[in-house]
Amino acid sequence: MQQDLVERARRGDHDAFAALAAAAILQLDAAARLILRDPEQAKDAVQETLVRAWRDLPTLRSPARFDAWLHRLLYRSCIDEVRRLRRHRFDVDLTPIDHPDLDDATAVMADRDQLERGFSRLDAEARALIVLHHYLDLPLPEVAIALGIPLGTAKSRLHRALQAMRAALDADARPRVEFAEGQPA
Amino acid sequence: MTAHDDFNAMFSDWLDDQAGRGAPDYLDEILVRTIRTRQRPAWSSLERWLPVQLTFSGRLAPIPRLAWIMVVLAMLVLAAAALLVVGVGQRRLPHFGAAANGQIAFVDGGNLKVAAADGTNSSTLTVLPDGAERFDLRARRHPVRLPDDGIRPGDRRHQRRRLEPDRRRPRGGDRDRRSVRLVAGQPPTHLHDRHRG
Repeated sequence: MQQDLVERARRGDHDAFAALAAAAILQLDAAARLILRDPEQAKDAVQETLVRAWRDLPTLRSPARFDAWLHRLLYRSCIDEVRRLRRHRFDVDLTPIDHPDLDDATAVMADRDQLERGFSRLDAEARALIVLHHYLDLPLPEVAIALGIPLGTAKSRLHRALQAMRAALDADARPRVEFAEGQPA
Repeated sequence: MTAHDDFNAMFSDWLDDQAGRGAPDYLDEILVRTIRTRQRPAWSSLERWLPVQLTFSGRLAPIPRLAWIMVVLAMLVLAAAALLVVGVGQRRLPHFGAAANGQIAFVDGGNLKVAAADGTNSSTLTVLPDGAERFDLRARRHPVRLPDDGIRPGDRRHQRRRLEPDRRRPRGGDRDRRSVRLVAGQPPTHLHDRHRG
């Protein structure tokens, strides 16, 4: 079904492309928001992805690879967005200085907060790798193809990225040394 | 359940939460843009012509801009070097027309002689009979006699006329009926000396 739509869209059938875009946009938007951490940037990236997909669709040699090709276009658009904004933006990382006692519910919230912070600290390439593999459930060889890197590089980068995420959680879980007020350490 | 599994489960949940559920509302905007966008012809992409393994693995994509600049510069240098080599190695054009065989015929006194284009290796082809003093240079092998126009043999003015173009057309003999002419702008040195000097 999808291949038929791709074939028709390749021949310039706009309705067929609209159907393909409607089926893909939810996933593309979610992945872009995860990679870019900004809804507006994600919207721009997805728009760019789908416009490029329409423009370059006749050059796609194998319609069966449409999804992988689309993910690759999304990744490129996201990286382009990051580069575009990197020239105009300074990021300021705010670290909380108070550590209140936490019950279980708030501990989960804190974990999520740490995940959020750790994920945001990763570069866009590493986030894309995680999103394609852990969120879109693409097998690692497909991820490597989408990112345009060798499989071995994809594996090692994914390992490093997840290690960084775990380290962010571990750092938060580390027991803190409390000092009584007025007492020397 | 290991800590590793815990982390993976928590991370996947977190990714799902972050991704959200709402359908984006900008699809129409995109489709309007695509209507205004022309599709690229299939042949205009490298991916259409190169092997899939090469293009789809993205090995072409991450080449940095500096590398492309270096490649272009290297190609320019190579092209310049090739032009230089070709220019230096350029040889003179080979002789053409009547001089194609590398020899020029001329009248020396009563003899029909041939010499190399530079005037060397002069040799007598034949001794001319009386009154056969005007020849087409192309008629080296078969000298053609022209009707007597009253010019005495050995007359230097006549010798000069012999080398001027299209003054008189020879009759018979020369198949293409071309008249006497200078082949390379100047006759061989010794010819010049004898007949003009």
